[in-house]
Amino acid sequence: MLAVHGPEIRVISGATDLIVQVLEKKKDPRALLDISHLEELRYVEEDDGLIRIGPLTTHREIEKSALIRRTAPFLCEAAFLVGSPQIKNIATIGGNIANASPVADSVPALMVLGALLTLKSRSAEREVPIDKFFTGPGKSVLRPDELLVDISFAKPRAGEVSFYERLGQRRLLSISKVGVAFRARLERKRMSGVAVALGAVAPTVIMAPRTAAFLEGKSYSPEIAAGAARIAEEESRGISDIRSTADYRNKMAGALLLRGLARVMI
Amino acid sequence: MIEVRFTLNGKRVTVKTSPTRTLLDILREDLGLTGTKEGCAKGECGACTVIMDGKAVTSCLVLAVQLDGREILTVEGLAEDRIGKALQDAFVEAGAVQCGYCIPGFLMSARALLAENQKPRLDEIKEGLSGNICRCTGYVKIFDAVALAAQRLAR
Repeated sequence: MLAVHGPEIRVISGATDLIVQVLEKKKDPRALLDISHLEELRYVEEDDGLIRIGPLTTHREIEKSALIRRTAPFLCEAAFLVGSPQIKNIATIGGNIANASPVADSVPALMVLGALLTLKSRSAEREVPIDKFFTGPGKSVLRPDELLVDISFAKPRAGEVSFYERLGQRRLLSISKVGVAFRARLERKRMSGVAVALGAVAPTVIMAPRTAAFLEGKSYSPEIAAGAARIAEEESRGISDIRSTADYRNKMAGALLLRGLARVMI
Repeated sequence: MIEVRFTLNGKRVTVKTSPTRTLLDILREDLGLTGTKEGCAKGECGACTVIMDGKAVTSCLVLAVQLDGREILTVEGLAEDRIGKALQDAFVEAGAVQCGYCIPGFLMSARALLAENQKPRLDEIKEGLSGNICRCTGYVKIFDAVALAAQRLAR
């Protein structure tokens, strides 16, 4: 169906974001294709050193998954923050990704995990790293005839530290003003393989390569963290909108990095 | 128009409707079950919460096309449900109801919570009900009522 009518179809499952936009007449898709009954796309499993998540897995299922809690607890935290229990019971992680919102809470965590997205059409299948997936707000490289069918990442090794920190109007049930995900290996207190991703401070969720490079090989100290926070502020390109201002967003990206580093390093 | 078949409060129902009609409208307008309330109609307030396949969901965000084969429990079905009945009694006894508009939604979220977690701590009760808003702000007595129901069910 996607092969023939792809451009006119919006694929939905939880559709918690799209339904509201349709009801408020901000969007008027020609057709909706509901895939919420495809149980084979709902799983969390370990497969040869990889963690695989089916795109129809709900945020609630990720939040409660013992496997994710054991291997990437900050992804559980990000899934927990997505919305109310009612929303998390139907909103899926694949939808959170494919919707391509710069404020999606699961995406910064998946980015620092180096997640690979499998996109499948009737005739072909390709893998796209999640940091190459988004092209703008609501826009991605997903073609009209393709479906996101798998999300995978290498199982994090023991001795890694990671966090997802975010700021909203309230602690829960609010859309993020800023979100920061961090991950690194820690060997004799030195950080390596550092990855930092920033949400809600650019047209898409972005990696912060200069912040990560600054921290690489260093040991935590308040001064080092402050230096990294300054670079994260520079790498943020927040805008002013109903939720916050550009200046505040950029500064808070640094502040959340500081807060998170203090939480996992001390 | 499409035809959807699902189970509603233990009974099988068939509804002919438009694929994008919400479960909330189907319940209230097509089936006359007005216990489920409409608040914000965008998944923020929890007034329209029902239980779908054992999980609390906001019925304003479920489309007819997604209903086929599902099992739905609404506030009208609670009196015949062991946990639901205990919650209703506890809400009355604890004085948890003020204007009452949010209560069906709270009851359904509490029902889903107690089915999953028989002895919830206070923070777990708060988290389980975090998707429901009471504008009379009677949260403390609502939390008390859920704790009371859990205590009785554990006996």
